[in-house]
Amino acid sequence: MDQLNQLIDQAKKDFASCSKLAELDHIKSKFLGKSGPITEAMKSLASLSPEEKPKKGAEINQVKKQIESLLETRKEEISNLELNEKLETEKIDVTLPSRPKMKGSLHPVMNTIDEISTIFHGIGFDVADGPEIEDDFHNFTALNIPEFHPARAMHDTFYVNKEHVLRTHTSPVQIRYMENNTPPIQIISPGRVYRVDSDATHSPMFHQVEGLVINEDVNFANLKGVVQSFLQSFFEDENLTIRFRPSYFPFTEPSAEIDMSWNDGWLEIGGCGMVHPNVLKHVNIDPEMYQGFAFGLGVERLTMLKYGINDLRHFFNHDLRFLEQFK
Amino acid sequence: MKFSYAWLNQLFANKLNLNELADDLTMAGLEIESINNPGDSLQNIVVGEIVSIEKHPDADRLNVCQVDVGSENLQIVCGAPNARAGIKVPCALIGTKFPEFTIKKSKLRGVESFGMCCSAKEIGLSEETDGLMELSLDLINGEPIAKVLNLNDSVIEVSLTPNRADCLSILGLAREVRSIKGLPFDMPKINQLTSKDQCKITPNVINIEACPIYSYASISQLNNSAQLPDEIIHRLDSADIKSINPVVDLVNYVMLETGQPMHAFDLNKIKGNVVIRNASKQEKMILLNDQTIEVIENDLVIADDNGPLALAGVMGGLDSSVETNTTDIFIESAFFTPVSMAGKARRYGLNTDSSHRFERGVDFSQTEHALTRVINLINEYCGGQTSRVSSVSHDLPQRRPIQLRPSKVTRILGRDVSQDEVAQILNNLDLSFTLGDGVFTVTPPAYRFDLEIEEDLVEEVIRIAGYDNIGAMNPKMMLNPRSSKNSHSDMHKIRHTMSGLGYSELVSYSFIDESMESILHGNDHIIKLENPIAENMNTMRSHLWSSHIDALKFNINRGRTQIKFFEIANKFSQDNSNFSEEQVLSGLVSGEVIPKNWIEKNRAHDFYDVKSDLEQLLGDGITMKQSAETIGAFHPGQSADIFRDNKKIGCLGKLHPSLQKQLVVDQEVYLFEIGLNHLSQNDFKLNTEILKSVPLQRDIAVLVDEDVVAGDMVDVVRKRNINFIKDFRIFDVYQGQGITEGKKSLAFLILMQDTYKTLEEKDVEKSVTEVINLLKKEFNAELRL
Repeated sequence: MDQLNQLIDQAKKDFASCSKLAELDHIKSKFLGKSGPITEAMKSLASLSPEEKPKKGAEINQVKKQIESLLETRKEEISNLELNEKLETEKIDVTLPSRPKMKGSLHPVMNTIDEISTIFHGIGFDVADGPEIEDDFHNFTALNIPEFHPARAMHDTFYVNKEHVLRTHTSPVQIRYMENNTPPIQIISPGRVYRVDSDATHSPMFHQVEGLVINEDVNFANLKGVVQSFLQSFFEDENLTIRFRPSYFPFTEPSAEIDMSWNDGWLEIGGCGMVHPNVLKHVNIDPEMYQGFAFGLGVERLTMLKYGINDLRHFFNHDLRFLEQFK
Repeated sequence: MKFSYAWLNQLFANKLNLNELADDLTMAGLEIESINNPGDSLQNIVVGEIVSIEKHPDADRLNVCQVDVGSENLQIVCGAPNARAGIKVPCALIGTKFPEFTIKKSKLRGVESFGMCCSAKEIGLSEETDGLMELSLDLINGEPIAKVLNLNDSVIEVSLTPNRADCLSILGLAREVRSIKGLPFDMPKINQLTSKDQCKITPNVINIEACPIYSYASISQLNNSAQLPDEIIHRLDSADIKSINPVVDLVNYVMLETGQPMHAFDLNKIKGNVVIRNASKQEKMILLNDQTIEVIENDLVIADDNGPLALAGVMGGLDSSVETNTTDIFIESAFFTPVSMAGKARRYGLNTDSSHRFERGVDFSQTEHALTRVINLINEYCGGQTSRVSSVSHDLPQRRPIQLRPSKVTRILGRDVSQDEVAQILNNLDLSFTLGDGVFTVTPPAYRFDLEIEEDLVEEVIRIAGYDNIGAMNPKMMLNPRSSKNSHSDMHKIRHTMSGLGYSELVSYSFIDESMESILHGNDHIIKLENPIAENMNTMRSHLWSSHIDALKFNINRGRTQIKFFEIANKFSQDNSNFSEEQVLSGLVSGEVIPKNWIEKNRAHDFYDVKSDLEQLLGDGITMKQSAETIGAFHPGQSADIFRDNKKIGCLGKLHPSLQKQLVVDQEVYLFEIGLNHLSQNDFKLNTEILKSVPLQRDIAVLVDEDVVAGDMVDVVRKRNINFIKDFRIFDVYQGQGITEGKKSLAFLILMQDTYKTLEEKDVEKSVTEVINLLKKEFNAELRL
């Protein structure tokens, strides 16, 4: 009996001194293996009397169970230790930089065009386009700007040849659309336009978005409503207001400059007006039956205001340090 | 147009507040661009009298002056050659701010100086400097210079739209103020001339369409070296008109006052009679600005027996110009129609005060009136014997009555406008009208060239009622979501995919340097601009790449070498005289694959990186083939056409090494271009058969000649539709040790799957054998074991 109890103490000691699972298996066989003391003790039962056999057998079993339980406990302890060790060695410096990737960016002016198109598309406008090398008729004449009209001088036009110009505004898209569609018409046409002008506030190429609505009764107050709602949506500011100032465009009558409330003042943001009857006549729409409005907004201007950009030239000089900021 | 605020204000009994006036005019469509107070910058400059002067002890060119500035005598060191005792000059006191410096107490070569005596240039009154500005000795020492020189006035610059020529004068602006504010004003009184003398010249108007009325008179024995009051010179100066001599100045003055351009000729330089006619061929003349022009037929000229004296309505000629010693003059006051004036001045690179007004329309009813006014002034300041005022007139333009329906006003504006309101506004505008059956019949005055149709009057009504009185009201429209697929959502997807793939979006100018078109594209149908803004922006680009190469170099120079750019824009081409445009997605890739880092080994981008990006964007359905035609910009061995559904949609290639060298780019560059109109069709094909059975994979490797194109092998197998084969692709390419020279080894992965059951070995073997046999037959491939 004492021998067996000593065995338990010995196992306790041996298990505790072992710190690897593989070693533990080896030690286990020392106690519980085929030639180990427990097995030996079991074998020795054969020599005992039938009365002693069960008693002794139970004792041995008892010791065996105890050693097994000690083994299990130690096993768990060791695997916990090993896990902790593994966790410790797998520790990383999370402040190191991420696995690198090229990061793309989206041009702010194109983002603005996208947003404008989304807003207007959502209220039932089609997005239309036309050529950038435009003929004289669509860029000027059809818009009630005949040859030698003083308004032509205001446009600083790039000429490709006698009959073709780089479009000075997106308004010719109006004409092209009306030539091929009948009222009711609701379109916007964003795109590139060109003027012979270059300094901190003028670029020889820039973007406009033109809007056109033609139906039986859409009026000047509606024009104000649509432009104001659009700007409120674009700038995410429901308190934004606009004011109209009388102006002159050959293709609208009445015509207005659009001023937008901004930092306690007014900022000019575009031009608009009721489509001139001569323009409607050019595209065979009866001006007594239909009327409509048109507006034009500067995309760069809207973008600069939205992001607080102070110099137009940032848009076109391709400096990644600037462009990368826009997603 | 710039004008003197004091001048306008003088016409009104109720004085106008400057800021209120500016607001009112702006809100009525006459935008005030700037208000300039020249006196503001002259705050500390006063009249000073040099009471004594002595040579500077240590500087030959300098004098030490004692200057009486009213309250005290100041010691001022001065280097002007005309400094002398007894003259009065503008004297800048300590603290005066000039654009480039501020006057401080200072020492000049050891002598203290307490101010500065000024030239006319220094106080902004002249372009040239010729010593100190000498003031009238009548002025009181110490008086502010701004006050004594009449500089306390404000100069207002109004930006007029081309339709409002009627406002190009003090009279026109006063009319506008009356319309807006309802205030009455008075123009200077005109004394009718009593002379019965005939004008020395009897002009003959030949082109009566271009010149329906020509009023004229002559004055003799005048003194054209008389002094005009400062006020007149100042008012001309406010309008940026230089003082020349009294007659010319007064003609200009009355033009500013009334809007009527006139011209005075030296009567003694006119040979024979004056004719208003079209030019004939090859007539030359020298204009007042010394420019020699050869007039062309249809140009209206004022001519004498010798030839043109003036380009009508634009500018006079040098030969007949009025000078200070002129004693006899012939003056014209005409109406040249806008149609006849259109484009004329611009043809000679001119835009004069006169042509600017005639092109837009001048009041044809006041030619005699304005002429009488200028004669009054010439007589007052220069004396002279005046002839009577005469006119040659033919059919003057008619102002057609315009119908104005208040219902139309309401319909256009979306705001109720009453008949009374309309009548009130028409009255304020001084537009005469009759009213019958609720319809106004309005006859515009001669000076309103912009009122032709009902809509023009609608604008007048709301302009005076105030655009602010239009409320913002969203239209009632059908809720009608657009059903058509639109390009804008395609663009959105493409842009966002590209940025996700690491590309930065550019917006670059559509015009480039002409040389780039030939260098990069060998393009000989170049679209050049007639008037480029710069020589290196003179050609519309046929591809976007040259702009992107510029952008690459710009960023490399700033230390950024890993570049992926894209842009969506139109490219331009020309066929005979037809222009065409195509919207393309274009891009450039260059430099290393990833930013410099601690974790991953880096390498330069190659063709297959870009190919992978384009597959991500366009889907697996695209294939690339060696370009059928040479693309000049590309490396001949790394140049691909991109196909989808057997249609060519674009190209991808490596920039040709010699171009790379020529363009001074240090790193390899890949370029691509995709035509967006090919992408707009809805080409999405859904696979609804998602197979549940387990797929099996076999790999084979074959040897082929090295010039066999891998894509062709894949195509041949895929097109054969061999049983159970769902995918067939290359996973390894090898050449070198162990492989016969001139051969290459290609390894393929064959993925097989049956619809319902797991494949059996014999089926697999059969399909793989078929593949091998096919490759043997078509490409002479040997199986590697």
